[in-house]
Amino acid sequence: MLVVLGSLSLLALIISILGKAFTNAPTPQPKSQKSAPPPNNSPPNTATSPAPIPQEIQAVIVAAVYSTLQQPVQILSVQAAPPPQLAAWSMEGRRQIFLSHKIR
Amino acid sequence: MINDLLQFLQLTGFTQLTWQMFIMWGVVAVLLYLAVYKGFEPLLLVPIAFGALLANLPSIGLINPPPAPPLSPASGEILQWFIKPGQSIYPGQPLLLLRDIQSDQTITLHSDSHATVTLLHAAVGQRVEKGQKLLEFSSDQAGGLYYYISQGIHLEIFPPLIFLGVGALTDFGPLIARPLTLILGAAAQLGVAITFVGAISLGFNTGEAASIGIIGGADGPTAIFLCSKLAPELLPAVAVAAYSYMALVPLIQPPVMRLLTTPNERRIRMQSLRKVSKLERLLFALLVTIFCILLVPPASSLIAMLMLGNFLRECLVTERLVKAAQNEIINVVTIFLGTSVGITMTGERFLRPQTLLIIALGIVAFATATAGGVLMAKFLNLFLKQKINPLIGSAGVSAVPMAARVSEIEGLRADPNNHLLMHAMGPNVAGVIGTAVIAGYYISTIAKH
Repeated sequence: MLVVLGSLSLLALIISILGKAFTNAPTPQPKSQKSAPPPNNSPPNTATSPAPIPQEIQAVIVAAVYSTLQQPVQILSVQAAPPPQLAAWSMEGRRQIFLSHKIR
Repeated sequence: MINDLLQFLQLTGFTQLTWQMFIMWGVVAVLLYLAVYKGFEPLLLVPIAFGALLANLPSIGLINPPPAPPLSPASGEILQWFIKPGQSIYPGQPLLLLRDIQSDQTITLHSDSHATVTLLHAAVGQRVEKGQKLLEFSSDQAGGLYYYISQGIHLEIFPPLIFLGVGALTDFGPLIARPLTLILGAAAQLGVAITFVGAISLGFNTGEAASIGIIGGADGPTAIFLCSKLAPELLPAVAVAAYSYMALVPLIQPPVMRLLTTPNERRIRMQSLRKVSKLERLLFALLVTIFCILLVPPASSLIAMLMLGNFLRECLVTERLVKAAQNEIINVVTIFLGTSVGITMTGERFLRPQTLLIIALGIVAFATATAGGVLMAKFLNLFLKQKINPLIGSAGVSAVPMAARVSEIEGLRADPNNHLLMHAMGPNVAGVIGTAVIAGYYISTIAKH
């Protein structure tokens, strides 16, 4: 029992150190986008956002909204979705486990 | 006409039925009922029960080994040969007359197979020793189907193959995100250690005690692996107890968990787990492989296959292999493993007082393993700033993912918004590693003696 406890504690320590190394490692920064100058007809809110959305992306968004609503639209503001929460990952894991085979 | 009928009846299996077989049919019926109608580990209990049914039928041609030349049943002197080289022999034919020098009784040795005698190793009047080969013969008869399939257990092939599939199905992410849970998985092996001591005190030898104790690890393949190495005669009882209790985890664990925790402890909310990168998962698989194999080389086949399956899963470039390990391989091996275990459940081996003792010790093993995990979580909380919910400690008994589900359900009972499942998966998969390590430790220390 002590052998197992001792050896798995040691393993836990090693994994913790490894984990610290990973969590302390600098996270890769997203590649800086060449910000296109805001178009003349761009909405004022977009221009004040920290990373201006490239023109071609704006065009895609307008096209997507137009094709969905089938009517002319004016995009006034584009906001990024909130960053994915860890709970979503937990939920996915939970879903997988509940669906998993009862093999043992 | 009547004589012909009687002779025909002699040839059928009806005359070979024994009372033990009838009792074992009842045991089979109970196992099938639990598996089919109550959903108790059906993927394993159905093959085990069906194998047990076959074991308790006069199934010649199914489990018999290939013909082997007879050995001398005692030390003595050959009085007469009834056969000569070149002669064909058949089952039941008398081969020789032997005088046992110890009891001074004469023994007639009969053939148990169809064959042609090629050589006699001893002449009339010559002395032979017990276990000595008496003659050579050639036979084109093969062994029964399950004689060969069961080699997967005897040669310890099936349990590691099951572990390959288990590794491919297991997400070690929660364990990597919170390595402390490895200690909970180790603490849950308390059940194995306590039951080992209990079994010794009840008169089992060390190999048998270790095989009974490992039931507390709630890990079927590991239990079979260890038992077939240290106490093969106990394999049927140990396997049935292990799988039956694994199915009963939702009934056995909650009372122990509630007894050892306060309502406030059960309501502890734990911090969300961090996301684990692909590289970290790959390094974990390699690290555990190297560390555990160096630590307990006798468990290397289990650990190696577990981590190979996991590496295949996490590297994300071997999708076909992962699918095979997760489905086809594990399913095929499960059928063969289950039936091979079941086929060892003959009445003579299973209907013994020992079996009842093993089943009783099995429940002690499960309960103490649960207590070990919970108590360790409480102990760690004395030193931790961010407390862990002690309910996840019980998941250290392996039984993936049922034990983690029990933690989730008990946690929800205390606080309907507190989901513990992913937190409990850490100790749950740590329990798999812990059980393999303790099995390796027992093999390395006991098998030497």
